[in-house]
Amino acid sequence: MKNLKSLIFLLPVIIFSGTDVKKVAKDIKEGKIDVGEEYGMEIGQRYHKIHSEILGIDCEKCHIEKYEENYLYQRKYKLPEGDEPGVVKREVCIKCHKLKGPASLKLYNIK
Amino acid sequence: MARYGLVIDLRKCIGCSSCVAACKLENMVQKGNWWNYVIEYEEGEYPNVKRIFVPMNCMHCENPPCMKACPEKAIYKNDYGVVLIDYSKCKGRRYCIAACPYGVIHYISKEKTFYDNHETPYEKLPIKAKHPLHRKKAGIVEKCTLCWHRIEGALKENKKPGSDYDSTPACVPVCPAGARYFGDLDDPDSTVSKLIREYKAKRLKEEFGTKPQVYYIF
Repeated sequence: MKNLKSLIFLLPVIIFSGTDVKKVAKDIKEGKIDVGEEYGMEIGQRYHKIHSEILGIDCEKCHIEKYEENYLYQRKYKLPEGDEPGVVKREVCIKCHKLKGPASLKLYNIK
Repeated sequence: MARYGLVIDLRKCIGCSSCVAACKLENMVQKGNWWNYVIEYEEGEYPNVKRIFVPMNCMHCENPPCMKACPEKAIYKNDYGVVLIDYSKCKGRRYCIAACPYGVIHYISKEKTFYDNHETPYEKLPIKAKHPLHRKKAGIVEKCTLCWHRIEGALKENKKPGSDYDSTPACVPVCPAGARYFGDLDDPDSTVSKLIREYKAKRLKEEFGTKPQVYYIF
């Protein structure tokens, strides 16, 4: 029973980690999944499609209402700051995109 | 080999944006884009409040995520630690913009002149007359170059970068508060190294592991 509970708890992690994300990435690169050619994070653009439509991540997982006063991100004063349902804090990205995360991009030097 | 960087003393910064204006003019940055920008916020509770000004530009990271993210390999780090964009290779895919945790890379959506129906003498120049780092065009990205054209010029003339006005990034000498310092981070006797040691200067968002070469004294 305890094992089953842990499995249920870990299921989203297992689904989102491991091969699924990598397979999706591979399929996108090979053109099997069409995410468009508009490279950008705004609605309808490539990265937004990957995160929302293809991976099915809820809006609230990435979007916050607004940046904190002391959030140091230069383009926070530019669009799409006011976009619904809110801005994306870059710290959220590294939860998955860190070196050993489920969607490791080897961009940041975080283990 | 030297490794150039900046130290910004936030205790001195008064948020006047002289650095912003100097950068804009020096590099003819696209209208609406800013290679250099001052972020303002307040700290504390009334009556003990203070306003903080944080000038932001490219951090010229030791581990630049933008460079790793670029599928065209258009972003590179030169021998002096300056992160630069090769405009001839950039295809405007904007992976770098998504990867940069500081939000300092900008996309040139369409070529705009500074004034409507009027080109400045600089805008009239043919593209080949401009320094390669100023040959920007629509559909690519742009960011601070640490005024590499100035540093490069100094190196060619066997001058020490940072030794005079023309061999220092434009944002540094214009600061009326003297809050910006430029120099060799690898030289323990340089002003920047001394300041970093003395005031335990910090780098922004160290949790990203990017190791910026712009230090801040808080």
